Amino acid sequence: MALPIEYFLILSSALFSIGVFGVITQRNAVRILIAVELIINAANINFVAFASYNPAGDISGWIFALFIIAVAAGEAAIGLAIFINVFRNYGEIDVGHLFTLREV
Amino acid sequence: MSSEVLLFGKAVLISPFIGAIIISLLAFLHYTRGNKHEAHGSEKHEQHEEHGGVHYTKFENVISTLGILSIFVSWVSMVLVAINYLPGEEHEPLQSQFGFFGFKEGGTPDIPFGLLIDPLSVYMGLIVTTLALLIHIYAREYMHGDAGYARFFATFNFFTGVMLTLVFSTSFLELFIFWELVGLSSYLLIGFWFYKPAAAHAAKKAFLYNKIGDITLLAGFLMLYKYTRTLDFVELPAKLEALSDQQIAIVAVLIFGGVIGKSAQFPLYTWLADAMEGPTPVSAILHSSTMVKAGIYMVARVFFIYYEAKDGHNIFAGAEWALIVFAWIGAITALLAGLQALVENEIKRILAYSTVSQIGYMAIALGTGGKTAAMYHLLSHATFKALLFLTAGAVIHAVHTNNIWEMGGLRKKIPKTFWPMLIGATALAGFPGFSGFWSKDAVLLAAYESEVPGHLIVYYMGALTAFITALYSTRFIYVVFFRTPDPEHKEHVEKAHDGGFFLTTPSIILGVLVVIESILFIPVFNFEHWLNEILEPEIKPEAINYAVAGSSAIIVLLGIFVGLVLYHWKPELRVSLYNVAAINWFANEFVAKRYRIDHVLYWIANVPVMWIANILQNIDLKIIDRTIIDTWIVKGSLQLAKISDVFDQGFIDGIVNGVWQIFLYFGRQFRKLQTGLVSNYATIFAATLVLFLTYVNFLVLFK
Repeated sequence: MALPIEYFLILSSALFSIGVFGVITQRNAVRILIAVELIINAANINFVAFASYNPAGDISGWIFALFIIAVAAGEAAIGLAIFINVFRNYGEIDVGHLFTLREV
Repeated sequence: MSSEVLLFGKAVLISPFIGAIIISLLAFLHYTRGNKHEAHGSEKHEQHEEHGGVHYTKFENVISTLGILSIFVSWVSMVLVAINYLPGEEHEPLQSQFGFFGFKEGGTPDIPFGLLIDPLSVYMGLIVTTLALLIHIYAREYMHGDAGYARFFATFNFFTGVMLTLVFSTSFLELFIFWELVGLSSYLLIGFWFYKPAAAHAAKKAFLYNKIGDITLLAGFLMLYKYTRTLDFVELPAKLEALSDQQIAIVAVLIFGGVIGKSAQFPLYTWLADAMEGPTPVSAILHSSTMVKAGIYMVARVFFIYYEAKDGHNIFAGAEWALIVFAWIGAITALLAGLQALVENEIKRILAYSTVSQIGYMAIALGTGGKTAAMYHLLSHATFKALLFLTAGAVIHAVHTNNIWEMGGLRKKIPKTFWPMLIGATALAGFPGFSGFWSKDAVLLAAYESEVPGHLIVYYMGALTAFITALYSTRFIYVVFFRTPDPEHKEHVEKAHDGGFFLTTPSIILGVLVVIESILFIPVFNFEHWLNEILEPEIKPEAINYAVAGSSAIIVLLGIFVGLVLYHWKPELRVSLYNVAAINWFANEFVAKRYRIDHVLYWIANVPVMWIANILQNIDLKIIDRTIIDTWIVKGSLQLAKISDVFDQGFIDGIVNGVWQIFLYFGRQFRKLQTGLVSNYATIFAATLVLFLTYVNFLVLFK
C-alpha cells in the first residue's frame, strides 16, 4: 500500500482521455471500438482502485469490474459482428460514409 | 235569476266554438291517420242515388252530428235565456265582464270584454241560433260528399259562434274584434271551394269591400272613445253629451260606413252577389242572420248615437245630415238592388240582390228613426230569406243548374221544395197578410212619419221598391215553378226530385215559422207593440196608418199582377217591351252590369294606385337603382372589397406565411447539426462534458 490512490486515478483519466480522443477522431469502426474499450477499462481501473483503498473492505467494486469486463467482451463481439456485416454490404467500415438512413 | 241568465248566455257563446275545435281536432286525427282527402273539385252529389236515401260515411255522420249538436246546445241555452229574461216589464241590461282592454297610458284597462244581455241582444241571438241550427241541419245533407266536409262544419260553427259573440258584445271594441272575425269567417266560407277561381275571387272581393267599411267603423268608434273615454254600450249613452252635434254626426256617419261594407249598402254591395260562389248554406246564413245583419244590428245597438228619445218620440241626436245620408243610402240601395234582382237570371243572385234591397229597407228604417221597425223587418226577412235560400239550394240540387231559364214547371216535381219556397216568396213580396207585408209596412210607416228632411221621397222610393220586390218575386217563382220548360232543358227538369230528409225538413220548418210569424204579426196580436216595448220602452208605438198600409197592399198586389201579366198572360208584351231600345239598354247595359259600380270603384281605387305605383316604379328604377345603387353603393362596395382584399392578402396571409417561414428557416439551420456522424455527436458530447466538469471544478475551487 505504498502507492497513493492518485496514481491510479491519473492513469485512468489518461486512459479515458485517450479513449475519448480516439472515439472522436477515428473514422475506422474497429479503431473506435478499441477506443471504447480503453474508456471502459479506464472506468474499471477506477472501480478496482476505489475498492482496494476502501477501509471498510467492501469488494463490490471488484465484482463490478468483473461484470464490466464480461459485458465489454460481449459488446466487442457484437460490435465486431456488426462491422463484418457492414463490410460485407458496403465494402468499407468508415463510419463517415455510412449515411444510408440519413435524409440526403 | 240574473246569474242564471248570464250562465246560459255564456253557454250560448261557447258551445259553437267548442264544436268548431272538436271538429277540427277530429278532422286532423282523421286525416293524419292516413285517410285520404277526396280530390277537390270532384263533382258533388254524384253519389246520390236517384230516388234513394243519402248514404253518409261514418266520418260525415260524426262531424255533422257534432256540428248540429253544438248549435243545438247553443239554441237551447238561448231559449233558456229568453224564457228567463224576456217576460216581465223591466229589462235591466245584464253584464258579465270576462276581462278588460286598456288604451290609457299607465291607467287601468277600462274597456270591458264580456257579455251584455239586453232585449236587443236576446232578440237577435234567438234569430241567429234558430236559423243557424236549421241551416246546420240542412248543410248535413247539402255538403254530403264534399271533400271539405269537416272544414265546412268547423268554419260554419266558428262563424255562428263569432256572430253570437258579436251580438252579445258589451263594448264597441269587442264588437269590432268579432266584426272582423265575422269578415274572416265569411271569407273562409265564401271561398270554401277555393280551387274555383270565381270563388277565390269572390272571397277576396268580399273581404276587401268589407275592409273599407271596417276602417271607417274603426275611425268612428275611436273618435267616440277620444271624446267620451268609454266604449261600454251601457255607459255610452250618458256620456254622449260631451260631443257637439257635428261631432256626433261625423261619428254616426263613420259608423254607418261600417254598415255600408258589412251590410252591403250602396256603393259597396256588389260583393254580396259574388258571394253566391260559396255553398248554399253559407249564402243562407250570410243573408239571413249573420254577416249582413251584423251592420243593422250594430246600428240598432248604438242607436243612441243617431236618435235620442224625448217625449215618447225619437229626435235627432246629432246633426241631421248624417241621418239624411243614412236614409238616402238605404233607399238608393233598396231601389237599385231591387232593379238588379229583376234582371238577374241566376236564382241565388236574384235572392242576393233581394237581400241587399231588403237590408236597404232596414237602413231606411234606422235612418228615419224606426229601430223597432228595422228589427221587426230583420226578423221577418231573416226567416223568409233563410227559407228562400235553403229551397233555392234544393232547387239547384234538383236540376243542377243555377239559371232560372233552364228550369220551369218544377211545381209537381219537387213539391216539398215548392210549397216552402212559395211561402217564402209570398212573404218576400209582401203579400198582404204575410210577415213581409207587416214588417215592410212598419218600415214604410217609419219613413213616412219621420222628421228627416226628404223623408217622403225616401218613402216613395221604398214604395217603388215594394212594387219591384213583388214583381221579381212573382218572376222567379213563375219562371222556376210554373212556366213550361224550354224543350232543350226538358230532360233534366223531368229528372228533378226532392232532396232527402235533411234537405227538405229545415225548409218545411222555416215555412211553418214564416206562417206562424205571419199570423203573429197581425196587429191584433200586438207583436210590434211588444217589440217596441222591449226594445225602446221609452218610445210610444206608432199607431197603424191605414193609408200607408192600404197603399202598400195595393202596390204589392199591383206588382204581382204586373208580374203575372208579363210572364203568364201576355209574355209577348214583355218581348215588345224588351224591344224598346231604351229599356233594353237600361236593363242589359246598365242594371245587369251593376250600374257600372265595380267599374267606378275600379277607377276610384285602382287607377290612382296604379298611377302612383308607376311613378314610384320609375323613381325606383331610374333614380334609386341607377344613381344611388349603381354608383354609390356598388362602387363603394367594390372599393371596400379591394381594401379588404389587400388587407387579407398582405397582412393576414403575411402573418401566416411568416410563421411557417420562420419555422422553416430555423428548422433548416438546426438540421445542420444532425450530421448522422457518430464522431460528431461524440465530440459534442465530450466537449459538453468537459465544459460541465470545468464549470463544476470552478464552483468547487472558488466556492
